[in-house]
Formats: sequence, structure tokens, C-alpha cells
Amino acid sequence: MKRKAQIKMFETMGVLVIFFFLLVGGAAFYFQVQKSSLQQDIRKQEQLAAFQVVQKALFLPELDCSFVSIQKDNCFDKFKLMNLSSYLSDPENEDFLIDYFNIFGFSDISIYQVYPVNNSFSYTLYKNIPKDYSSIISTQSPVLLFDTINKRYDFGVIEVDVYAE
Amino acid sequence: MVGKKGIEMQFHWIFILIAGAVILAFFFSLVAKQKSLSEEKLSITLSSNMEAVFSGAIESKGTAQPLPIPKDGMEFSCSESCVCDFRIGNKATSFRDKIIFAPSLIEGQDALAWSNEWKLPFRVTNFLYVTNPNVKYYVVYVPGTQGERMFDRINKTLPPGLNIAVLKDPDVSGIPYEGFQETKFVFLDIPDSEVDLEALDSDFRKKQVSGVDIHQNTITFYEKLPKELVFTSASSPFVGEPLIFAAMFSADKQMYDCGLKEAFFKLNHVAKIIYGRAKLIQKNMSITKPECTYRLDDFEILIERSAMLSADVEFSQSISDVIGAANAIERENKNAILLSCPEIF
Repeated sequence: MKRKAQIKMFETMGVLVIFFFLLVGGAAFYFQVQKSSLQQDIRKQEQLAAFQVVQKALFLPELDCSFVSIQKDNCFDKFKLMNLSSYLSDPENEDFLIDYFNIFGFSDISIYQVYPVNNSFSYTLYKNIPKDYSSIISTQSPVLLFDTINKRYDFGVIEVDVYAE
Repeated sequence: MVGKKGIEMQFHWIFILIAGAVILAFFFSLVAKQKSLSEEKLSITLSSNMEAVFSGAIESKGTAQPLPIPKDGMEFSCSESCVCDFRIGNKATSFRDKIIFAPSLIEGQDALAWSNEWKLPFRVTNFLYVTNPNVKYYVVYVPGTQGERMFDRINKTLPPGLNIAVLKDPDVSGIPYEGFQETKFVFLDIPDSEVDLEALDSDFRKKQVSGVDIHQNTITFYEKLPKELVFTSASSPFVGEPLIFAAMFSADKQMYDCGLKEAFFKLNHVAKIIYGRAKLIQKNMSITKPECTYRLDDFEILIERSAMLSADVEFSQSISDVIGAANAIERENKNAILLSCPEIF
């Protein structure tokens, strides 16, 4: 009788062990799925953040082209661009770079002219690359570059690399 | 024998009970953890989506757009050190570079977001105003005064969908409480001595009520003490119509002042860039078009004063200096257009 009870007890224990084994297996699978969905979400958020950086750069009042106070979309004034670029790259104006960190975060923004071909017109607007980063999201967008002196619009490209930590 | 079997059965059931309790506890803890995790995840997702929406809305000037609000609402606040953020659930997200003016809590109905440019005289930044129909605005002015003209101007810019009522008498004692989450009185060019919010109906005593008075280049904020119909007042300066809207939609003076400081900070940067540009144009045009010379001294005033104001918004000569310099730069720009010279900004 004692032996029979012991067998019964072992049976119950066996059922429990298998149950917990399946439970742990199921939980591991579930958490793995959760992890990959979380990673997907993080990637989506990073892309959203990168898009925001491009959008902010395109609408920066410091760079806009305006004629009689009317702004032109997706256009940068060449002289304003040259000025802001020199401010942001000057080590003496480190405060300026810190202020723009709020807008651009960890990114590298450069603008260059493509038509008419002018290799000398290529500026790094902002550059702040973290020491460690997990990914880079690169975006290129066509822009107009306004030449105030000649009252002419040239074609250019803005390249934005956003670094995700 | 039967007694022994009975004891065995009892132990069996006790074992099942304990095992069941352990299994149940495991599942309950898993569900509770999962619930808090998904709530946190949801607030993070909502906050970053909302930030993206704000970034988009701030660029599309002049257009009002409805924003779906999470069911628990959305809080906006600025600390004394001007750390401004919006909060969804437990997740606080900083305004960062955005200048947002909004009530302290938006809930219930969809919010309305619209933006407006702040020019001095060139575009400095865009302000984002967020509100919803749960806030009742009473605009108060006396017909035939500067206040009426001010109202006509701002009424053309205000987006539809706001709950606005017009009062043509500064006496607010007859206004009944209409059950809105917040009531805001906007006095246009009414002398401070004629503003008496303490005369409001006693139904307003425990409700959220505030007021602003736009009068002679200053904005006076009236903030109610909790559970009392007693108001404190304090003033701030303003420059341009977009700041009238800012005062109207701000949760309090703190939020307005923080936005204003940030705006002057941006003005300082933009002025430096445009000043540099004007000097470059002048240098390039000196041979081909020598008549294109600009008077640029006012930029120095603008840069210096805006730096001061970005550190501390106060009543001082700085505000009128900024306005004077901005007007002078605008005149100079018009002259440049008349002379067919490149514009200064």
C-alpha cells in the first residue's frame, strides 16, 4: 500500500515537472517573441527620430530662404548655411554646438551642391557622433540652394546620418 | 486501514492545493508584470508618437489639426528652472527645442494643435499651441477701444473649434459656471484696476479658473489659489501677436516665461546668423553694387539684448530695445528691396 502511494506521488510529481517544463519553454518562447517585437519598436522609433531630424533641418529659421518675408520650402540660403556651419564647427563656439544638440542630437548633417556642379560648395552643418552607437540611419533629400548675390537657385542634397546609441 | 487512507487522501489534497496556489501565484505575478510592462511600453510609444506629431505640427504654420489624446489625458508643465515636459501616464517627455503653450491637463476630447510664426522681424521660431474644447475662453474687451481692434486681429487668426465667448464688459460677476474643465478669461486692453476675477460666481471657487490681461506691452497673469476665489497676479512682457496667443493658451505664467526665454534664446542664434550673412553680402556687393550698404548696428543691439532676455525675462529697457532694433532692421530691409539690393534676411 505504501509503495502504491509512493508511485502515485511520483506520478503527480512527474506531471508537475512536465507541466513546469512546458511552462518554462512556453515562457521562453513568448519572451523571445516579445524581445524581437520590442527591437522592431525601437527601430521604428529610431527611424521616426531620424525623420524628425531631417524635418527640423529643412525648417530651420537660421537657414531658410525668404523673399519679401515669404519662405520657400526645402530651400537653404547659401550664406546662412556657410555662417551656421562655421559657427557650429568653430571650437571656440562650443556652446553653440551644445545648443543645437537639443535639435539634432547625435547626427551628422552635410549639404552639398550637385547642379551646377560646384565641388567647393560642400558644408558640414552639424557633426556630433557618439563614441558607441548601435546603428546609423542615413537619409538624403534634394534641396534648393539660394545664391543671394546672383539671385539664383542651385540644386543640392542634404545628407543626414542619425546615430542610434 | 480506512484512517490511513483518509490521511493519505488529505495529504494528496493539501499537495494539490499548494501546487495549485504556486501555479496561480506564478500566473498572477506574470500577468501583473506584463500589465505594468505593456502600460509603460504604451506610454513610451504614445509619448514618442506625440513628440513626432508635435514636431510636424510646429512646422505647418497656421493650420490647426486635431490630435487624438490618450484616455488618461496628457499633462503639460514647466518647472521653475524651465524644464518643460509633457506627460502621458508615467512617461514624461521633454519639449526639447519645441516651444509649446498648453493647458496643464488635456483630457476627454481630442486636442487641437496649431502653430504660429514668431518674427522679429525675420522668422525666429514657430510656437505650438495646444488646447481642447474642454477649456472655455472668455475674451473681454470694451467696444471702441484698442481692445476691440486687438480682438478683431486675433479673431482672424484663431482656429475654429475653440470654445470662445466674447464679453463686452469687464464685469465678470454674472458669468455662470458652465461645467468646463477649465475657464480662462482673456482681457484685452483692460486696465488692471478694472479686472476683478474675485467677483466671479462662488461656483467657480473649487474650479480651475485663470485670467490674462494684455495691456500696454505687458501681460498680467491671474492665477487662482486652490479651493479659494482668491487670485495672485504677476506680469510678463510680450512682443508680437503670437505671444498674446501664448499667454492665452499657457497653463500658467511659468510656462509662458519659459517659452519666452527659449524664444529669445533662438532669436539670439538666428540674429547672429543673419548678421553674419548681411556682412557677407555687403562684402560681396561692395564692388559690383556699392549702393548696397546696410546699417547693421541694430543687429548688435538685438544680439546683446536677446542674450540678456534669454537668461531672464524681466521688465526692462531690453524689451523696448529689442522692438526698436527689430523695427530698424525691418526698415533697412525694405530700403534694400527698394534699391534692388539683396535682402538682409
